Amino acid sequence: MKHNQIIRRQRITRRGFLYVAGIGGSAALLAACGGQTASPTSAPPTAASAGAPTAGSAALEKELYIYNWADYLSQDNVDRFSKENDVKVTLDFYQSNEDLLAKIEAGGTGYDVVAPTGYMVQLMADKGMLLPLDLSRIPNYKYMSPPFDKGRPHDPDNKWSVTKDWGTTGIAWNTEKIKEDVTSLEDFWNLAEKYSGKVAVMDSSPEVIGLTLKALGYSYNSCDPAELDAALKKLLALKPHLKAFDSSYFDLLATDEIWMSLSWNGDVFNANSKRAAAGKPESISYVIAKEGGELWEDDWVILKNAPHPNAALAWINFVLDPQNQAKESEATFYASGENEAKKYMSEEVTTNHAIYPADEVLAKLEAVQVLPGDCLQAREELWTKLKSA
Amino acid sequence: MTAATIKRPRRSYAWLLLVPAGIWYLVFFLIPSFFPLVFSFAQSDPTGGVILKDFSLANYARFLDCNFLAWNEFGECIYLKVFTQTIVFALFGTLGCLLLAYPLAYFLATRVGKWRITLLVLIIIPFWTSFLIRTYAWVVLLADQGLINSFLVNLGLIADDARIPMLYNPFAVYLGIVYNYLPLMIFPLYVSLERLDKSLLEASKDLGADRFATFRQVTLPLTAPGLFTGILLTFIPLTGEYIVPAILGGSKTLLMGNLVANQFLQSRDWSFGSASSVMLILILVAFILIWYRASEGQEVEVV
Repeated sequence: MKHNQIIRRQRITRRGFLYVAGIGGSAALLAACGGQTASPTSAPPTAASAGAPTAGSAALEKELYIYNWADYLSQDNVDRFSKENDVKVTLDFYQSNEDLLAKIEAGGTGYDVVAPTGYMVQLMADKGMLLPLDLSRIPNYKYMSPPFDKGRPHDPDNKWSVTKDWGTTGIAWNTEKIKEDVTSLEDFWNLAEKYSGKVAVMDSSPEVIGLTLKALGYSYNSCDPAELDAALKKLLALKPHLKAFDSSYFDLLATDEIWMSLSWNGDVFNANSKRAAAGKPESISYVIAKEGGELWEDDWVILKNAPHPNAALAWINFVLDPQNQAKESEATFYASGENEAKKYMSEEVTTNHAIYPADEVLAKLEAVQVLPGDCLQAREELWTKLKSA
Repeated sequence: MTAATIKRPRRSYAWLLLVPAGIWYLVFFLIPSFFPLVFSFAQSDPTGGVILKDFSLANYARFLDCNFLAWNEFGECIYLKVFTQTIVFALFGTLGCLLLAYPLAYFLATRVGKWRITLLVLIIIPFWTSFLIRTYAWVVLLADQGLINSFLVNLGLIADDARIPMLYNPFAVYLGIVYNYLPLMIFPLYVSLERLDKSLLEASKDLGADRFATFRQVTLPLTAPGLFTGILLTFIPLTGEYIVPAILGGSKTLLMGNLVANQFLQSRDWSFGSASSVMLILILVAFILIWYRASEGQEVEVV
């Protein structure tokens, strides 16, 4: 297995949740229920007085409300932070960036720290929802390594966010069923024809369109009409061979319903752990296509109306400690933005190319950008044409 | 004289009966419907939400646009196509329910006797489970590695590598639809069939009509109200359906429900999403009015 070694992941991945959340509108309901556990109503006054906390006024509040993706933290870190600082930490969960945005937009949530994906950080910052980060109060920020230390496209000056972790989008396949070598998106398209009906993609247009553009040699974030038309043609050729557009593709991989899919890196661990539980070989492998792909990152940010901004800053600094970063990666199977942290991780994680791709592979990846309205519209039309074809 | 004095107080308080439902419709139907209507004429804020200025019909024009200039490339009526597909889907789904429900309701109303209540309860029991769970249960049954295929393989009826593809195709979608919406069709039909005056059927027979003629000229017209109600109750929710095609159809088609959801969640285009849902509502209202007229005509003709 030259592309990666396979390790187990016990938890459902953050992105896997999207699917279930989208269906039936249960997301809003869950969010509403969850909110009740974390709704200190006295939020605004505290936030106003602590709008620009200085190093001198760093007395920690007794509480901290973290709003995060499910199973996306090291519980050990939370417990130790709580104990060492005498802060009661309350966790609450959302299932998609859009859920998060809607909840915060509605106001009065009482949350302090949230973990949106890069493009959503930019949106939330533009909408004035975030508190600027005082990096002098996050000394552990110095461990952050390139390209996460500065110049991130969604937050070039590190004004609003620090990298929580990052991951990639590529191809997952079952090495037991597909003996061919899978290294590129071109392979994916060719093998889809050969293994017609045993292939899936996620039901998410940014990733599918982005990777198709990459397969054609264009930018993941392209808005060019001719390039998008070419992408539509390529996708129309793929559609007859697809079993489904399904963001739970890892479940289909786990049960042998499909043998290959476009995939987020963390889901491979999910699929393999399910296979192990069912007594099947853990034969799902992952590769970042040689044409390139997506590099996404989730960030820690503090909300503008955070009732406990000092505890929030203390938490971010705590979790950026390289040893604690290592614990995070061991728990979530997503990579840390700090190279220093790799020293404290098991080799199983650091040498796994599904978590830590080689540098030359990393160089070819692109971050998702916040696309302008007319571009989103063009992409949505492409998706509509593809689905209704 | 006395009748008038009794009537007067009745009239003056009768409107109070409308208050609870009136408030309900105002708060939960009329006012919420007002938002998409206004949004549909406004401008979308690309970060989500709408900007309430530059009101125009642009979103409706976009919905109806057919891009004739580029017809041979990818020019097509993108959104009208989704709309048509949704209506066709809802029509076929309704037809499927009707074909199964009418004979079943007829059987329940005329042939079962004392078992009637038990059988009706049996029809309802599966619906004590959540819609989502019942739909996912079909995945377990129909998948390539699912129960039915595995059973057939174990019996040696089909080869392991020639499993029958039953999931993620139109068959699975309509199966799920008929399964989930059948009771909505059965019950109105059952009620009207049960009330059917059997002596009319005998009269028809005495007058020399054969079974088919009796059904066509007596039973069918007399159960028309139930038929119309059942069709309406099935067809309307089906135009907004998108869960079954997503779970059992593998999201390979796009219905109006998905389209509207995508506009709000993926392309953050609230005003176009609003216009799409307003279009759907308008067409449905037109459909209901025509349907209502037709059903009125039916009743007048019969009675």
